[in-house]
Amino acid sequence: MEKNEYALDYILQAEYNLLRKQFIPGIIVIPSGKSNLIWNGVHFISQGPYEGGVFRFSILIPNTFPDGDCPQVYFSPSVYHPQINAQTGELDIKRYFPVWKRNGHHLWQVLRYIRRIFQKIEITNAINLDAAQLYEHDPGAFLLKVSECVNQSKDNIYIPDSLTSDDPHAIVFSPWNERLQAVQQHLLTGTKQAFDNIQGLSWMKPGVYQILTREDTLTSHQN
Amino acid sequence: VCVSITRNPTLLELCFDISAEHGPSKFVIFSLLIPFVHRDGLAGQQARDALLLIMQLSYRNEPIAKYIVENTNFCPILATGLSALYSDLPHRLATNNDEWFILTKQEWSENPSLVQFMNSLQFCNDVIQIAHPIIGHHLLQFIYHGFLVPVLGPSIHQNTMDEVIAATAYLDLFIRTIYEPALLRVFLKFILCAKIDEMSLLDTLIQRISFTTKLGLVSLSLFYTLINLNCEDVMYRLIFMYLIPCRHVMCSQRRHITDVEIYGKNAEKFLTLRPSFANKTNDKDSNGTPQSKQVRVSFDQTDESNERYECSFGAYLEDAHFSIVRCRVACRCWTAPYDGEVPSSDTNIEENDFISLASSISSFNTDNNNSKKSGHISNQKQSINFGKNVAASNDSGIHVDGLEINSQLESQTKPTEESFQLPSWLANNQPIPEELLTKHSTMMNHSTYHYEQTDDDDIDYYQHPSSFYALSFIDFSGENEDTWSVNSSNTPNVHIRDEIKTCVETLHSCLSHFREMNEQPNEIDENIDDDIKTLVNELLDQVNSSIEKFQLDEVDSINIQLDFNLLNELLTKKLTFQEYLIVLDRLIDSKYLTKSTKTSDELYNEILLLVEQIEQYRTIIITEHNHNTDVDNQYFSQFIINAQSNYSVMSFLQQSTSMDMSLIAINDLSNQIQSNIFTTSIQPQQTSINNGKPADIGPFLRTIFIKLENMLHNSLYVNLLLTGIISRLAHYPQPLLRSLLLNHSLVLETNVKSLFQILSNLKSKLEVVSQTFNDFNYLVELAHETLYQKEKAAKDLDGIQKRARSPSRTRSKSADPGKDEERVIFEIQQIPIKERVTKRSRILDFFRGRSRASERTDSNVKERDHSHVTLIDKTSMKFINIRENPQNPPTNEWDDPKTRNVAYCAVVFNQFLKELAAVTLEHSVQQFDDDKIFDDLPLTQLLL
Repeated sequence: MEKNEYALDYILQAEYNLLRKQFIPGIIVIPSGKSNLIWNGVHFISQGPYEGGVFRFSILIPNTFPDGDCPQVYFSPSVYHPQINAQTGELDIKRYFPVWKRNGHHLWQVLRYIRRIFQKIEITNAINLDAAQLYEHDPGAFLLKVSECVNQSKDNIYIPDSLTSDDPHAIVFSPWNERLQAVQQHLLTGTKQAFDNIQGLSWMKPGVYQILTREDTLTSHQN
Repeated sequence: VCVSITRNPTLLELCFDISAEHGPSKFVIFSLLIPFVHRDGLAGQQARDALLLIMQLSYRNEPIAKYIVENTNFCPILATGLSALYSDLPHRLATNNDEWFILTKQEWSENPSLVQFMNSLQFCNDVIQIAHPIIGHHLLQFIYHGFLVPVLGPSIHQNTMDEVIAATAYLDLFIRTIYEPALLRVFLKFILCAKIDEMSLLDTLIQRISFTTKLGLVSLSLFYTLINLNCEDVMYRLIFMYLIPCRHVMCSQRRHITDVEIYGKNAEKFLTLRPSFANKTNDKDSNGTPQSKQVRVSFDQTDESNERYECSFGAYLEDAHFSIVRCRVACRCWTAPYDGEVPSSDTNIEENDFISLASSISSFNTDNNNSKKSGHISNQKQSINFGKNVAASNDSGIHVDGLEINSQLESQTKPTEESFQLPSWLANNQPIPEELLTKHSTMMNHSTYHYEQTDDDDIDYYQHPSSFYALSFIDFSGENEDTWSVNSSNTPNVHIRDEIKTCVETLHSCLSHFREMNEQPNEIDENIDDDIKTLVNELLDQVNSSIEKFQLDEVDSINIQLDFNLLNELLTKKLTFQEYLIVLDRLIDSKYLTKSTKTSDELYNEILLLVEQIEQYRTIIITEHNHNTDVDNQYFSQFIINAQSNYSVMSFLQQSTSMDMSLIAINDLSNQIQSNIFTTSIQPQQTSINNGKPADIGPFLRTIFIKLENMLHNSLYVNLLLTGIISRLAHYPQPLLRSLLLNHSLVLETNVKSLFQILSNLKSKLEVVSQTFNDFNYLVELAHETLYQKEKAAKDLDGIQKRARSPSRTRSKSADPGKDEERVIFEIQQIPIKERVTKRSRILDFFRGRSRASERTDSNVKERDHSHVTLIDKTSMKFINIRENPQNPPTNEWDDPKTRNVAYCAVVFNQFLKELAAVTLEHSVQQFDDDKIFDDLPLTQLLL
């Protein structure tokens, strides 16, 4: 049966929820406002040669997901890295996910992979051969190039990405100001009361599987 | 008086201050008010209001509360007043047609006595909510012991159908009306725990579901209400209690219970189950084309239909989303996640249950030791007598179970004692831990030991084959001998072990017969007859010549050899139950026919009748299965007894009586369910090996599933309720339940039918049935149309009702948002109509790009039929035109209620599948969510 539109939406949503459960440090991802199949993200790197870098990327998910090809990951602008195509910014994801397996692979693993390539640099079967060779033969020069790239990413941080500029869900950076303090406070302390009015019933004692064991005190005295 | 009462509230505080100081003797006003509590009309209302104020005061002022409890008769009067008013209620509800299954606000407000009762109930509710805990507690005590148990209980057990229906409907109404948890708790305690005439009320209610009459309908709606409470205790009692041991799932599959299927495969699977009806008659192409095309479009998966289907499916998803969210949120207060791990499948038992079981076992043991062969005959007589008694009063299931125990454990000399013990087993019916299992297995070995000396060890033959039987349906890694060596290792005594071995050998002989029966369906029918003949001949030989012991051993040695072959064969060919049942039925038939020639004519007739009944009940497969195991086991015991003993006639008489009993048990659904419960409680003990347990999903689910299998023959309303219950159950996020209902890849035990199996059976049945009609699509279309009209009518009525109600609502307290006391027929998922319509039309526009929204908006029927109606709205316009065509043949078919039911069933079935698919999809997303995610959603959407 042909997969319907809802099914894909639900699959992606489930993937996204799974991803949120993973709490992958240093990475923010949000689906694009225009299409569920494009997820935009930012990776903040806190250690390794790329320390301090802030790299934007987007994940393109094939519309046959999860049965079809691997999702593609593009860095924009491109990052100087053995596994990343210097021109297009595409990350070589096939080396980690040669074939996308529908139950074994999830999108959060892609994010983990993104995180890993910046921590431990591998040069076998590199896409960016220059970078690979430089890394192998002249690590000092490689690190120089990397720090250049990192600095550039830091400099460009407030410039919105051209590809996502018209996207309502685009990740935009702005300088810190006091007004945001309040927002932060609100986000951190915000309480949740939305569900106080829905209340299930239970008189079971924890650990004792027998019905109506707990003598409830008469609860609802709110006068 | 009235005036003084109305003035009271203002003076109240003062009065009470004084009275509290001067002691209770001056506390006049209160006692003056009490007589008016149950008064009708304005005076009563005012008295109640005034009393409520006092109650409120008592919450702050404990002396007053104490005074009220100790020195006034306020609580008893309230409770007994309920009883009195209840007895005034009409004993039968006048209803015009069988559509009725739920008491709506409108209906009960037309009935003055019912209004009066509801007011009092409401008052109790308010008092408990407002008053001091002491008062509340006392009042609850009085309500339980003064109203529920002595008044409401018997009325539910009344004899006349009408009264029972009315009582059940009242109970349903009450539960829907009260919302104060403490009061609800008392009611639930009544429903879940109360026993009337030694029979659990809950079991009674469950068996009534399977009634085809209106009583079934009412019971269904009561259970829907119960399930809708989101109450852990209810769900535990009805469902989780049986699912926690995980016996319904294949062992290897247990770890998959919590598995999450995120790719929507299950939902797809549900959707593929939707039946498609090919139009059989193409000859009416000339005028029927547009219509039939339209219909087919909505069922088949052509492009256009996909588009149409998308539109409606969005609405289903939306509903599913909010219902699941609501359910999840409500379940947050539950104590356990029910995910197959917490509560673990072994640790789950109550202590007192354990004790009672242990004590009963020990008593069995001693009795086993004491009983002699001489006593056996008298025992048998006794059991026959007992059985006859039961046959006379076949409405009390407990006695039948008592008999079953009796036939198993004949050494137990006092039937009364058994029936006394039984309720504790039945009521608690808890899974049994390992400790007990080993204990029991030693017990079994014990009785095995006695097997050689005494004849009264039917228990062996009852228990052992069934354990083997259970084993046979699981991958058995070990041989039987291994199994038994495990068992026998529990007993240190080598001597006993030897005896067990001989016993095992005899068991093998039984088994081999059993295998033969099982094996037969694998072969061709001719063989079956032959096999049965030889088997029956063998049996007859044994009966006639009363084979001596050594002969039996001879047979054994042959059979043991046979046995292993058969076992292997069974391993390779997994038998379905139907096949197995058919063979069993035949066997029983032939066996009975041959056997009965040997006994009196009276018995013969009786048996013939019963055989017919077996045929009738063949459709109820699970039940039938249970029954057949019983029969089968009895057959084995009979076989052995015949072979061993000289008093074969005697034993046969006994056996046939118990056989009768078991058939009556089938007949009488109470017995059926109770015996099921019984077997579930007893069989875990029979096998000390963990995979030998029988699979079960509990009586409630089983009954519901059986009912669902019968969907084609159910009336529209039964089906609506039934599917409503199941989809409501599917909303529960607990993995145990969710996996059972919604995960099609979960492999269940062979005797547990999965929802998918049932549904796919239904699909094929529907498709087959649809072939028998000229133009089934047309009928389905008619069904849609009728439903649509009904919806419209109900909606109008609803509107009027709402308008009429709003001013008359005096009590602000009863306007609890969580408890909507007004239910209308299709309220199964209540979603704000207006909002829904706007959304829907938006969706429709978006997807279809058509400007027909205005036409479609009038289809704001409630969920169940609503989306469909939306779809066919345009269609139905056309279709109405077609119907006016004078030369339309199928209208005759439509007049037949059976046909109508089938057509309705097709509609409901289709909707049901979509609903389930939507729920499944939603689950796949929401199972990762934490509670906090929901907070993004606007509150208003969730509270609807």
